[in-house]
Amino acid sequence: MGVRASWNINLRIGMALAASGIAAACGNPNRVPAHALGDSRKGAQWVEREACGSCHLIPSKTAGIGVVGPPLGGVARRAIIAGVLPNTPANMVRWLRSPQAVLPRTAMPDMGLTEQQAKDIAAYLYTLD
Amino acid sequence: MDERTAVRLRWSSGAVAIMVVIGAAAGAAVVLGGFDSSALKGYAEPINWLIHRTMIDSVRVRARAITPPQRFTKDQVMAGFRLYDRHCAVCHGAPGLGRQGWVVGMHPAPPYLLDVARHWRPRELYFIVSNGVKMTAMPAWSPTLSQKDMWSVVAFLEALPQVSATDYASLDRLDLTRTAARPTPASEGVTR
Repeated sequence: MGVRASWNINLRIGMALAASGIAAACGNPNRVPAHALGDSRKGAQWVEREACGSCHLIPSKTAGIGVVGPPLGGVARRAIIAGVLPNTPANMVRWLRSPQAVLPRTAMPDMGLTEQQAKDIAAYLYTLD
Repeated sequence: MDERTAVRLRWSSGAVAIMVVIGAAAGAAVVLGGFDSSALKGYAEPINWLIHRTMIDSVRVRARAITPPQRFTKDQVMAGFRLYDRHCAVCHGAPGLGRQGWVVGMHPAPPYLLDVARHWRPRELYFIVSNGVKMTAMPAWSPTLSQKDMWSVVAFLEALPQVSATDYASLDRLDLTRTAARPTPASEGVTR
């Protein structure tokens, strides 16, 4: 094909990629796509095993009926975590790993999560509608 | 036989044949390992819902026969605190306290109990503590704890929303009832 035709195709591919990137960034104000933070599928499994739903409402999870902490649907859009931390991936991981270091009296349990587990969980949480 | 009887016989023997075939297929599926008993694999969400709903309805109906105490005393709450720390926190955690590490291997996952008083009546909590839950790791405690002890645990569960992480971690400073703290012996309970 001619130079102009291949340039058109490349332009369209490039625009499609840019659009999806913008869409991903718009969906997540943290501007870190979930897959870059951790494995959200593993995170979903950890959320089930750690019984997060026993304190938090989690969309589409039967066991996510807890009314202790805030609902986790749309947590990516929330500005502040636990009332004190700006909602960034790093702060979410920090909160998940050591809640009492952030808020000594908080009922949120210290689950002994590793850095990777916390990242996977955070990645999953940021996908919740 | 007349024709009507013959038709009926044909229908009912057909129904029996279908049931036998289904039964044999189900049996074969089980014997050939079709059901995965691994605790690492959960069920599909609709099955989860069904199992959960079954448990809720079983408890609701059967707990109606139980009469709870009129009110819980502060002594009961404190006794329940010690029992909870010793027997329950291992699997169910506590305010600020995670469960023991190996509990992540359990299916279904034992829940944290901070809001159970919002979801269940006291007599229903007593029923669950006393009878346990079949097909989970929740034991029936009636063989090992007295009724008095089990009501104390329920009293503590009712008080849980008042207990912060720092309260729970410091047994001897814990005062849920705003009277002078009583000295308590060192707990054998879970530390992490």
